[in-house]
Amino acid sequence: MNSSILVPHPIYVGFAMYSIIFHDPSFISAFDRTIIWAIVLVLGGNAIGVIIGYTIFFVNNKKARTIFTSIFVYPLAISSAAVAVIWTWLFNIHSGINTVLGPLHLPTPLWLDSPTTAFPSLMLVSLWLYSGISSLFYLASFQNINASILESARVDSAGPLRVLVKILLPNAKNGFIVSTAILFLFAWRIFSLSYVSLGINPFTETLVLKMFSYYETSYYSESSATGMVVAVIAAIVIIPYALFGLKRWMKTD
Amino acid sequence: MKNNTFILKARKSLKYIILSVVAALWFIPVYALVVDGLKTTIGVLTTPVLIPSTFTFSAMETVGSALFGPILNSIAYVLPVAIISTFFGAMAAYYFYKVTSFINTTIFTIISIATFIPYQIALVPLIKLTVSIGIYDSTYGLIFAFLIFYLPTGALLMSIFLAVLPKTTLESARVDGAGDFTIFRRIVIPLSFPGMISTFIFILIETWNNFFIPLVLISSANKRTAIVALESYTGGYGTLYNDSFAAAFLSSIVPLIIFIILGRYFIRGLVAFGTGSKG
Repeated sequence: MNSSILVPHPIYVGFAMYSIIFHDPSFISAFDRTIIWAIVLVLGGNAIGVIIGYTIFFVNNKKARTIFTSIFVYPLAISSAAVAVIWTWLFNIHSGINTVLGPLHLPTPLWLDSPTTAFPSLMLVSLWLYSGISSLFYLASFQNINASILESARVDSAGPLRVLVKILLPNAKNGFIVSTAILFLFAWRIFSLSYVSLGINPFTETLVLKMFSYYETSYYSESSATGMVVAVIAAIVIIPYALFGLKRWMKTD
Repeated sequence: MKNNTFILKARKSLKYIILSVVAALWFIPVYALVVDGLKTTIGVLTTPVLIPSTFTFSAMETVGSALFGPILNSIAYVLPVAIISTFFGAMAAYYFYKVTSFINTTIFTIISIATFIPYQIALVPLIKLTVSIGIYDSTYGLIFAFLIFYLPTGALLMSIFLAVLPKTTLESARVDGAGDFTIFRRIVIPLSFPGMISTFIFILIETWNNFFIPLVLISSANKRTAIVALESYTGGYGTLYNDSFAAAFLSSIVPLIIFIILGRYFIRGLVAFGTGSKG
């Protein structure tokens, strides 16, 4: 539908608008980038989530456990816009983390200042931002495991790696499904992190930013069509996830 | 045997060391937030972000007076949204809890979709709608827009927290002739109160931190929310970073304080948001 505030009489154009956006190279690169971001965040977030969840699981002191959990979760309590402001300065090549990495003879990339490293830098921040929630889900799964199974493993003096691979991970299916769905959806809707740090930028633009830039430049129909693409792909993940969740909630009574 | 316990002990302390190192890495941004927001202009010009220097409240004061209005604007829409979403969400959840039917399952799926879908996709219709009912660029417009997304979130979270209530308690109240509203007020609210706090805090923090919706729905500078006002302190060359960090700190002060005091409720909300378990 070619309808907007400025076009009071909508003209039905069928799927032509989708054909237009899918022929726009900047839309295609935004699309690819969104997929890449989702894959990186799902894989990286799950991996970091397992490691953090696993190490916190073996902290016996309840207070220490709460403190560690809070440290990994606090990024979620701050606005992504504030996160973007903080990391823009931490990535600053003159006064940011490079001033520590340099003397340690570690690589000092140009971070947000170079077209090739800007997008990976933002993905790195998103891992810092969202891995904590994944660790919460893994921790919850690990805590649901029957204590006697863990006890018998301890009696057999199984190594920590064996406990992880043989006992914890096979029983963390829920943690995996939830982390994957949530991380995917979070990746899919990242806006302010990219927008506040680099604005509308051809090297870091993802679909929601593309949608916003279409809107800002008065391409309202293209903007709506992009929104539809985002909605459909998100729904592919949400619907099975909601049904999976529903089944669990129904079971609780 | 002795050797064995030594290995176990070493393993245990190694785990703490790894955990502490990773936690320290995770903590760097907060460290920078506190240290750099309190730097003097000279400190900014002579020390990098990670090195502390003499401290002063001058950046905090300047930025604070500029952000005072925006912070009030944020409170004005965040509180109504969190209260309404939690209360009506709890009511909806009570209904889902009481009645199990196919239609309910369908509505519930729709609620999940409304909760998890990227809210940005509503950009064009949201602006059209708020313009046509005359609430664009106002606190009412913000409240309206956020309720669209956070009423479902409230209902979803409260359903998860209500699922563990004992059905027998409610049955016996009904047998005693208590009406739905009495049961809701006298039994459901008291029993699910911690869940309601989690839902309230989760929605409060999420709504406060949202950047996109106020960005597109507010056009007057004096109605900007704290998080949108933060954008003007982004930096780039020529800006002093103590202002940026002070602005990031002050615009996040409400969520940060709530997280420090009531973090466990927020964490419970996060876990419920994903797993559908009480956490």
